[in-house]
Amino acid sequence: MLKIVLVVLLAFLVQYVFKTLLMFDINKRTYNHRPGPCRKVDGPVHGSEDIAIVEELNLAFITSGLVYLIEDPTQVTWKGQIFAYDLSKKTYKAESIPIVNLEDGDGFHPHGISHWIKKDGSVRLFVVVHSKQFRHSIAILDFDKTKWQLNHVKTVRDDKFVRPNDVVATGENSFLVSNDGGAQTIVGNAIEMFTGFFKGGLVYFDGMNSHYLLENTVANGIILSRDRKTLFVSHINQETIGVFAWDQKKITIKKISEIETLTGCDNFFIDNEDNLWSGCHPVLKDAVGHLGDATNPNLYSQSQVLRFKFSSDLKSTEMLEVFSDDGRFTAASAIAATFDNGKQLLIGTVFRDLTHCDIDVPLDF
Amino acid sequence: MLQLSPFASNCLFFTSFAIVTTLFGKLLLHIDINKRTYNHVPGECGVIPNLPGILGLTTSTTGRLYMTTNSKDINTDQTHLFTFYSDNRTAREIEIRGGPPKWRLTPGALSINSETSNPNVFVHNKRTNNIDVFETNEQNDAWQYRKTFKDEQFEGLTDISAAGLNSFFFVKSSIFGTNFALNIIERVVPIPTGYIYFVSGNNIQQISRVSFPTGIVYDSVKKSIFVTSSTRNSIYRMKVQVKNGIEIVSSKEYDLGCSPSSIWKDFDGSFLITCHPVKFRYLLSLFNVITSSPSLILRVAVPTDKDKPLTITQLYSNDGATISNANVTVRAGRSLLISDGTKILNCHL
Repeated sequence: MLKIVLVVLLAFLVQYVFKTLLMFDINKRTYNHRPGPCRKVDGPVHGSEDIAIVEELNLAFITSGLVYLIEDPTQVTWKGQIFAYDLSKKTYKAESIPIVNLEDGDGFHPHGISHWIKKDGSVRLFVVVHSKQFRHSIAILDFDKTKWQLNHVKTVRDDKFVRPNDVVATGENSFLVSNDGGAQTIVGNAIEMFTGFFKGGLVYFDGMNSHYLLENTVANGIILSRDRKTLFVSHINQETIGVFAWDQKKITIKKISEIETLTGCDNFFIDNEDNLWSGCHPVLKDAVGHLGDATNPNLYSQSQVLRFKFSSDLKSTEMLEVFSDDGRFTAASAIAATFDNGKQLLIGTVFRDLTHCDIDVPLDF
Repeated sequence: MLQLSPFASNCLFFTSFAIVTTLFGKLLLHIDINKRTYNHVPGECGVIPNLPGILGLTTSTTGRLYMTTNSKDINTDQTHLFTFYSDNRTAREIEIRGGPPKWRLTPGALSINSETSNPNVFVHNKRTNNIDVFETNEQNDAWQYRKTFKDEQFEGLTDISAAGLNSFFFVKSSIFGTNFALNIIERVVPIPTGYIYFVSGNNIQQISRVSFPTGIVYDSVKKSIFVTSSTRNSIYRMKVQVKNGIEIVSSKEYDLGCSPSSIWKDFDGSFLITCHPVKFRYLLSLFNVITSSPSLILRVAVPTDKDKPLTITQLYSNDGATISNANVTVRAGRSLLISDGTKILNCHL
């Protein structure tokens, strides 16, 4: 009897080890290719984790200076910033925009970003913010075009913002937030990863109250389709993308499909043809190593840019790899956004610089 | 019956369990169960119409492209030789002059030696299992038969690479070439059942054993042969020199990360390699469980410095819908030609 228990335990242990090895992508690698000439953009050096492209202004807002699972605030020697990049000409230079009326200027380390065009035509930004002590909030900033500054409107804090990663604006005061886990420490996060009991999820804030939409999962990048009816959620540790029907009036989501990508897709972008773009981490073990010690230049991880063209029923997708790098040029891509009618591409990284590429290859074949 | 003590039987069980589990786990990782392909094209691509798939490809230094193709009529099992013009994507059949009486050619693998003004082409004749050598004449697309190498070892030849006017290297990928089940085992289990041979005049010499070699290229400038191993996901660089016959003075293995199926040397010394990026889908397609399998084309530069890693660039990738199990690739001008044996894809670089 005892032997049977031991054998069962041993079998469980074996399959667990094997699944963990697969999760860490120990037998994967990337092969380099680029869609055209690529150049670094001056400006962001410590992260370009998320990009919001405002087509009305031909402007991209880039969050930089991310703080993630930090345990010693004195290690944070970099500054959190939001950069603006003019998309109408190839300057390859992004400027940091001043942020006015912040409660805590030193505690501003932006993560995910989303924008909303207000009724008066001005741009409102929703930004996931962490402090040096890894406290979380959502900052609402209005872009003042004439003064070229971001005016802090308000900061939203909520118990349900457990560990926010990305945000999607759904109105002037409402948004969706993804939690990419529940742990606040590196050890806690490791326990979540190794046990598979994730505490992340999806939260909707309607301007007054917050509502859980998904619980006990990993939600990293989130975005809505152009018609704002379909929600895409990146389950990065499970290497899948969840596709949901989103009903804003009823505050409900209904699952349509789950796409297996076999790569860790991070943040999302929807182009003007309603294709989904993502910056991905194809080899998780290298990504964990790089992101765990982000200031070490000898540690880097692979980058991958995928474009997903969904079928009309949203149950299957055709995946196109637009960019791939072993990390020496672009390390740990997190976001990919196209502009200029799909002829140009911005690739943002978690803790490194921003890459600007021309797209000279056909994307449909 | 021998009665083991409980302690000994427990040790035996757990040791066997560990060994079997490790081997099985390694096998699952080896057949790429957690991998997939993502589509990627280098430029506009299209299938060349009215031209059957390529079986072998080679170029001369002038850029002239020669190909052996399957006929569309499967029953006749006819294979033809063509010259391909990449500028207008047309092919013209080559006229063969000379040759012994009643001689017929069913060409397979081929390689070219450009030491003379009219390069010599070495062709594996699958009808006779000999190596026929032709002198080319690029003015009128004619080949003049020159000689034949005969040896029983040419049966099962996988790839050939010319080394001189009267010498060449070739590889055989397996012992069990005709036994399907055993051949599958050879493709999966990395044991060195393949052969590398060198032929010079009437002498044939086995110089090494490699696990399932699929392609060979002799680089006279570097005095090295480059051999791709499908099972080990690798490419070997073997420096060779003539010393009482030919011998390997050094060998280095580089990991490609995918299962190579052919190799072709470009003019700058880099290699174009076709790969099976997801091995289990390739195996399933061999068993006809699925109809297609992914294709991958890599450009690989092997550094002269032994300590430096390979430089690998991906040129093409497809999930199998456009081209399945690509097994030959070549560059002609700004055209990348890819074949799976049934059709030829032409991509603009």
